[in-house]
Amino acid sequence: MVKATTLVTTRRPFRFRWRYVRIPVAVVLMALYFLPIYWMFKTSLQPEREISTSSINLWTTSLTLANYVQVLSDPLFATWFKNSVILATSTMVISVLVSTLAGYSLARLRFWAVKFLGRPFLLAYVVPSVMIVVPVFVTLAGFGWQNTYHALIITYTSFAVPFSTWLLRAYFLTLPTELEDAALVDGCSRLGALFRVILPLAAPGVATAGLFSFVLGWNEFLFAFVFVFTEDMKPLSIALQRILAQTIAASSADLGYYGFGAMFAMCVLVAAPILVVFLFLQGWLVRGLAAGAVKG
Amino acid sequence: MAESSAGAAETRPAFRARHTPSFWYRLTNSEAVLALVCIAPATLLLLFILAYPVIQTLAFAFYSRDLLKAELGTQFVGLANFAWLLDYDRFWLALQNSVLLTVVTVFFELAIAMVVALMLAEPFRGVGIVRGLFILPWAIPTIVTAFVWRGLFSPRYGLINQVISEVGRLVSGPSYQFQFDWLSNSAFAMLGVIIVYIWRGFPFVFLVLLAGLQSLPQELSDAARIDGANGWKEFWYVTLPQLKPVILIAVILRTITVFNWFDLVWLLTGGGPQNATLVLPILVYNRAFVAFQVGRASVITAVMFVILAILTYFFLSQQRDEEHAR
Repeated sequence: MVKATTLVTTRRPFRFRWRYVRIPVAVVLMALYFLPIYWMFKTSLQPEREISTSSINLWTTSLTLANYVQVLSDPLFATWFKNSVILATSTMVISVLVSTLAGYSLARLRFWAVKFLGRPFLLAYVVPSVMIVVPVFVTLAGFGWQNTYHALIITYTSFAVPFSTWLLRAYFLTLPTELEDAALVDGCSRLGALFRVILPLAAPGVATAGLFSFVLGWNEFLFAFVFVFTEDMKPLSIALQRILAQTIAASSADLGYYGFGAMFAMCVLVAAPILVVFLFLQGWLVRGLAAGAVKG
Repeated sequence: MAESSAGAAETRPAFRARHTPSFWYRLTNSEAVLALVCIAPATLLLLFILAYPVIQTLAFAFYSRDLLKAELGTQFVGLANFAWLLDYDRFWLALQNSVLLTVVTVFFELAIAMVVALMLAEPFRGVGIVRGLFILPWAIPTIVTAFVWRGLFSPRYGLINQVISEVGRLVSGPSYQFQFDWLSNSAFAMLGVIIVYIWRGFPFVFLVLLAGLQSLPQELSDAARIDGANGWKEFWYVTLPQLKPVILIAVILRTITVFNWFDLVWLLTGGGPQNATLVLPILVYNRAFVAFQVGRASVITAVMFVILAILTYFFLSQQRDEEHAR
């Protein structure tokens, strides 16, 4: 009996089992991948004198909020933050509305011209933003729109619309037409069916498109850099870039606009709103992109 | 009443004509009109902000327009800008750098994301957290990404130099200190930029592949396993072919984004040191906003646009073939 068992165990060849290593390897990779973000948080909570060192300190016992206090007590920071919120929120609302209508039209309504319009929407994604920044600036400055919110909002929206439309079209295609037909039979208009029946069902797609537009409006750099020239109209991305350039040009950390730690605190504060929204919408995000990716 | 008149209409066509909806009713309830009205805002926006500037830029490629010599105005120069471009060494350098950056970044993004997506496709306890942390950098603003990585690479405060110093101290005594400015070294700057690009672009590819993997039917994998395929064969012959459309989408979207990306590389290195990370978008920016030569900047963007348009067309026809094959 004993002999038989040993025979069986020795005979079994060694097999590499993917499922035993996959979780530990995934966790280690994740830790490495996440390290820069962790490092940013850690540095933002450290006192200035601890940051400039040649030894690794991945954690610290002398946590301090002094860096955050310094950034948040800067009245300009509130202005920059407000500007970013206005730009990103307007971009999100307008582009979701526009893309929902366009995506619905492409997915559901049958008309030869609309079919013809579908492909250029994807081609719009190919346009390099450095390519159009000069003509767009010349055109909008011709309207006297330089240094305004609406010039930026309209450009950001047009950047967000192609991808959002494509995503929403794909999501609408995954929904059964029967529900819509039922609403139409019950006396709903086409648009009523879209807003009362389709949109609630397409929530993950809408959320993904909205988040995408918001992130675009929040992060955009080049156009804001070219369009905005007064301090009170700058969004966070431009303000942070200027401070970063100053800090790096300064010979020592405390000669810059902020110290090194305060810079990282500002980085955290710039990233925070998106991270929060993102954590709430994450489940929807996977489903929203899934439809977009799979249905093409 | 209504029913009987409808019946009458069917039997007597002449009578039915009087009941056809009015022109106004047909206009407001027609699917064609609604389709056009719905798509109009998006189309107008794209025409105004994308199509018109693109056409203008393509036209500018044939003109000489120097903002510093405004008295010369805009002059038609034919193909002179193209001739200039062929002789312009920095253009060829930037093109080479752009292609290198794009190909290497997209390839490694795809390869790493594939491995991680395969690891995380099947659920386990805590899979949501692991997936979430892998996706998180997607939400980090570009400027923050650039700043944090400049911090990591920095000679004085950087984590990378700290790690090397720490290892060095173990080997050669406690006084060892490693100071190397990664992004200011022309041999390493491009590698540094590629690493940051991969880090930043990974979540999107990962999400797309994960979504693709989860939508695959389980039956084919089961059948392959019953037929004796091992894990690798199952992946290569069953999973990968089914994922092909999704991979195509990820590749083309990432190629376009990376090729056109100005912000990140500009914030990381500004195209330096010694043009080691000079890519096409930076060259365009320098021509347009530093040298103020709009015509010459337009020629470079026209070339970028044509390259990407050809690639996208190729992708779309590939996708169409896939659809026909199914």
